[in-house]
Amino acid sequence: MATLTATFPTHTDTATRTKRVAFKDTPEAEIVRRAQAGDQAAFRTLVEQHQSKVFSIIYGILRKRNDAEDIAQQVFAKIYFSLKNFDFRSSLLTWMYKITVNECYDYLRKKKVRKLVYESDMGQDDERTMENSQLATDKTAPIDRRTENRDYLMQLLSKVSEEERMLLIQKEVEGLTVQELAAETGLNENTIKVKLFRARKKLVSAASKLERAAV
Amino acid sequence: MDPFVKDRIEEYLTGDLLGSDLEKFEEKLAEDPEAMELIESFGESASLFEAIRVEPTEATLGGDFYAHVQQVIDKEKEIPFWAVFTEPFMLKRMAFGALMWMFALGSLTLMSDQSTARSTDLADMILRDQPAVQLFQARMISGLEQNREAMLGVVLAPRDE
Repeated sequence: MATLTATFPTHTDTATRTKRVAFKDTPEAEIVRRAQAGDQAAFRTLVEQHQSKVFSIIYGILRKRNDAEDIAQQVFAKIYFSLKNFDFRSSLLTWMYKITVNECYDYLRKKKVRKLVYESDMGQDDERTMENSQLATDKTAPIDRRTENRDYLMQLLSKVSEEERMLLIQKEVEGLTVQELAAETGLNENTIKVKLFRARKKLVSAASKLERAAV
Repeated sequence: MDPFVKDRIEEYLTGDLLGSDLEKFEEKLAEDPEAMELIESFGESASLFEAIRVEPTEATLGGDFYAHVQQVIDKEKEIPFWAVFTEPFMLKRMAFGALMWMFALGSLTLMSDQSTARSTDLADMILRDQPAVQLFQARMISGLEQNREAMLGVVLAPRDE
């Protein structure tokens, strides 16, 4: 950690230094405070402001519109119940992202468990029939490369910390710049670069481990 | 890795590194094959995110989304009181409580074992260190009065310690 930080040049000029964002003083913070106090209209404003971003993250991960809508509703319900714990240490959106991605992971985990239970409940004949039908369809159906990549990416992302996952998703999916990430998270640009570098290294290492395990 | 390279990786990956900075970056990379390999693999892993990227037109929600959220919230509010015990936070607390109880009971059992051992030792000591039985030299005859006096004489006589 020390070496990583040391090798990143530290910016001392004011042009590149990011001011620490006071999330408590933003106009959104006022709406959040009202929602925390139980103002339904304020909560509605927050939902309407962020529903598209939250939904696009979920839809990107799940690729199933109905499921994505259900999860988005659950995410906002979760936000409603835990909003009182939001302490303005990061932007509301960053905090929402964490809840959103965790909810997607929960969904995928449950789905995987359900699939395993379903398969273990099947008799041998059922299994054989299913395998045959899968073989038959696999020959003709085009491989859904995107779903495959998505599963692979989610597997890799599960190997990095929650914060690193957030940064990578916001950077790569939302297209935020290092400066914007610094503004969103309240960290300075240099810290963001260090964290992204570390996260990317972890992804690469997780990928090579998975490849080695597959061989 | 060269600090110049390390500082500009993000710009390079997003294609925002241009002009002389890009040239310098690529020169530095050419001098360091290890860094080049690492940055290539960063690029490959970054391209995986394409799989979860969504076009803005794809991610549109109906106007009744908030109403659905409200329904979910109302439904969650109706959850029975015992559901609180299945909350992860509550489960953690219960597990911690159970551990504390086990620790307390374990300590109590150990302590009571020690006190039992101590009382057994005391009993052994009492049995072991009993005073030797003294033989009383009282001469008994048929007269009750004389016997009583003989016995008193023995009982009241000073003992050998």
